[in-house]
Amino acid sequence: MLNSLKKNTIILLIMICVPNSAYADLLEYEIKAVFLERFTRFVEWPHMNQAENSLKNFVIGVIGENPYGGLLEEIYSEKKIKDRKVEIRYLEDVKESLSCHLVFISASKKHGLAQLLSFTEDKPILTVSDTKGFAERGVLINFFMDKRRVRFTINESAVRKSGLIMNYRLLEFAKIVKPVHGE
Amino acid sequence: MKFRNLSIRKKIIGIIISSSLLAIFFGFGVVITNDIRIFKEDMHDNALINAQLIGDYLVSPLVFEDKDGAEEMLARLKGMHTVDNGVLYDNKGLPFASFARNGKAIEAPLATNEIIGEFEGKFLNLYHPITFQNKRYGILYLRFSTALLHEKIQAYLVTMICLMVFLVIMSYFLASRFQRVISKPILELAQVTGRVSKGADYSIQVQKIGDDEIGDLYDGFNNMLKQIRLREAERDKAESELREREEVLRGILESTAEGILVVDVKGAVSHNNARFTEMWQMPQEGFKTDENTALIDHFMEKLIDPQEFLKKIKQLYDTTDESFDMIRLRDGSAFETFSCPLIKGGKAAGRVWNFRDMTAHIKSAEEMNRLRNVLKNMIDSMPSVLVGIDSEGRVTHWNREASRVTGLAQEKAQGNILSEVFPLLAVDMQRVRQAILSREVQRDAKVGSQVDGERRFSDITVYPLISDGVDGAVIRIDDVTERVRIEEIMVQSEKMFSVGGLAAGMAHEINNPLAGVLQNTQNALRRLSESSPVNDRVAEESGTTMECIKVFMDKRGILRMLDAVRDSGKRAAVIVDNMLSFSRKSESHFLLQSIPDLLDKTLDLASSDYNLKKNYDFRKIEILREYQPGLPMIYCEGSKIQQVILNLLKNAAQAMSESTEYSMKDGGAARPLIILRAKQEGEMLRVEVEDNGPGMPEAVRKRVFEPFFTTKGVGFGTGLGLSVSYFIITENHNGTMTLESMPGSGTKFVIRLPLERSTLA
Repeated sequence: MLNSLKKNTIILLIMICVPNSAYADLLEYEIKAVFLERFTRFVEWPHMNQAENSLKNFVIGVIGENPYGGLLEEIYSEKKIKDRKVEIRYLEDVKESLSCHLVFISASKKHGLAQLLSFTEDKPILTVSDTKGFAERGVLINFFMDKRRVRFTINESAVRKSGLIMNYRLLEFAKIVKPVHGE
Repeated sequence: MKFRNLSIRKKIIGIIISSSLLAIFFGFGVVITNDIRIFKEDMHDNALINAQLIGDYLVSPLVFEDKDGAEEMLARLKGMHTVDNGVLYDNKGLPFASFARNGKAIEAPLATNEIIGEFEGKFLNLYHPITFQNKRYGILYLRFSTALLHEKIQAYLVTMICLMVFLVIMSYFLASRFQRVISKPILELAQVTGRVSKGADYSIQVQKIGDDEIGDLYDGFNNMLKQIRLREAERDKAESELREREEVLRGILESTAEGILVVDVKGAVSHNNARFTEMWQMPQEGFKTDENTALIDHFMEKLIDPQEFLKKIKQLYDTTDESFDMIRLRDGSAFETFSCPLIKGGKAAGRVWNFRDMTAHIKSAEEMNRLRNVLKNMIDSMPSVLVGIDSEGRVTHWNREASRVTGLAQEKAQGNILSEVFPLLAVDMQRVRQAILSREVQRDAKVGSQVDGERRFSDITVYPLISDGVDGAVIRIDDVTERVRIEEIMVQSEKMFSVGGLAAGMAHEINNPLAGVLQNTQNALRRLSESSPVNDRVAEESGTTMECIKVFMDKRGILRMLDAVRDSGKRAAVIVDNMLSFSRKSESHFLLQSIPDLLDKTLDLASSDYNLKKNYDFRKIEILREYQPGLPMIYCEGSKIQQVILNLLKNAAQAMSESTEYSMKDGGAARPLIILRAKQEGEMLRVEVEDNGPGMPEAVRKRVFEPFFTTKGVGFGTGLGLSVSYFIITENHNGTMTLESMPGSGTKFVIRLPLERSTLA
């Protein structure tokens, strides 16, 4: 616990002190890893309290080539998401994503993306990627770099389709693709 | 101008306006303050909403620690014109992003953790924490400009003030319109009241307009006027009676000669009359009612004994006693004071003081007393007895001489019947009554009386008192004994001198022929009866002898005749000699003699006198000697005095033995008595020879000293004895000789001889 706090603090301090470019280069994936947890703050999983009881931990799945290295384990070894322990799974099959709350789709899945998404798109799985064009293609949140800032795009329609409830504050902050126009 | 003096119209308008003003101000005040508060609250709320909105957008940048994102979000504040500045703080209180409308960022104020919105000067400072899902991410500070709010409030206030002014004007307009409903009837009533009071005309009646309270007031007013008319009539009557009574009382109070002062229970003056002010010389302005001490001080100053008076006042004021007193003032006045409590309604309500100026009274009483004393002294100093009596004969006045004469003090005599205390006057009471009745002065001169065996004379004068209605009389009794005596002596001596002179002259003339007769008779006898050589020779020569002649003479009784001639001649010579002694003045034989001794010698001589024995027995007469012891010796001729006394004794004895009348009257029981007295009387020595014989009548008494006057039978006396005695005493010894006698009460001869020789002229 203390350790995680220390780490967070260190990271934050670095974020503040080090110029964007520097930490963007060095810590791009660290930031992205941290951001994963931050996204969860704005997202609510349906049945999280009842049905998901089977899943005692918050499960983060990584599908494709893992760009984080050991960062995720490092960060989430002690850090909790939604008061649950975080479990990192590296998925071989898309079907495994069913037991995940959040799935990071790496750039390596560029080609099997449509198939992958077709499986997850109507399921309450928060899909995150960091590959240009992924959001437009149906990933819920996609990181992109804006002048060395880590930013992200949200596919509002996809979010809607997934059944996850995403807070407007996040939507407001993110770059929106495929917005949902007032029904 | 005070509100209560304003007219009713103005009052009503004033009240309405001030009430509406108050209501308007209060209402508007409440509304305005409330509205302003609401304005502010609105602004505050708006600001809060804005902050919340902005804050919401800022959650994500904070979560993702995206300063640029935060700046972008804050840039949206440009659309909110009231926001002036904005600062976003992170969770540690460090500025995270900021916004400045005018491009100039304000210095970041300290961050707080609470929602705070407060107006400060021209700004509203708002702190709004940024929370998401119960987690705080930072604080947003926003500064709003209040310029707009102030503009709004200003415009609002202007509108409101205009409205208020309008309302005030409206209320004044309405008030001045509607006040007439109330003020008009009241003003009318006031006008009528004014007319009534100005003209004092209570016959006016007012016409009622409506039946409201003012209508009742009108009724009441009319009724009141009626009552006033009635009451005024009664009051006027009562008042005039009261005034009249008061004037009478005041008149009485002022007309009295007494100073009257009324004080209340505290001793302060409540009333006083002018006489009081004058008597006490009160200051013109008087004393204030509460200055009772000043009044008392004023009294004190004037009094001789103020402490006594003060004590008395203090005693009196505690009681309801009356007091009667005399006080004396320093200026010599004396006031009789009478004080009694003033009772009002059964309770003591003060005290009434009466001061009567007794100065003149006391002075006149003193004067009268003095006058009475003077008169009494004058009366007392008189040598006359003065007795005043009233019409019933009771003594009212009694002077010292009266006391002396009667031996009764004035106190004892006063009020008694005159005849009881003054027996001397008993016989004269008739005369006194007559004087009182006739109112004429009655005089009674030389009334004789016997006092201490001495005959005294009084002039009694009765003056009726006619001055003042009271009947009475003053009786004056003058002791004129001395005067009568002197008068008698004068008359006597006058008479005696003329008679004595005549007798002496005659004796002198007779003396020579008588001497011739006696001489020649003597010679004739000697030549006829004695044998002597010359007779014998002449007889021889004549042819006879002396024997023959003797015989012849005897036979013819010539010798006897001659003896008779000689005796008669001798007797005549004695008479002549006595008569000559009337005018003889000689002191050649004067020696110092003791009168008692002379008296005793004379008594011895008298008792051995043959002639006396011959006529009566001197031893039968009781002799009393009353000599004052220690009498001085006087110069006198002893034999002459003896001759006088002897003469008197002889006369007395003779008178007592002769008078059969006297013997019969006393039934022979009374023993003849002769009293010899010698005493000093002033500068004279008084010798008395008194008998208890028959006395002598007035006619005899007056002539007893005349020569040749005698009551004895012819041949028993020459009538010269007393004359000779008289001249011896008066001429030779320069004394006096008088007698007192009343028929039946004896005779008293009084001889006065001067003690000093020098008094002999």
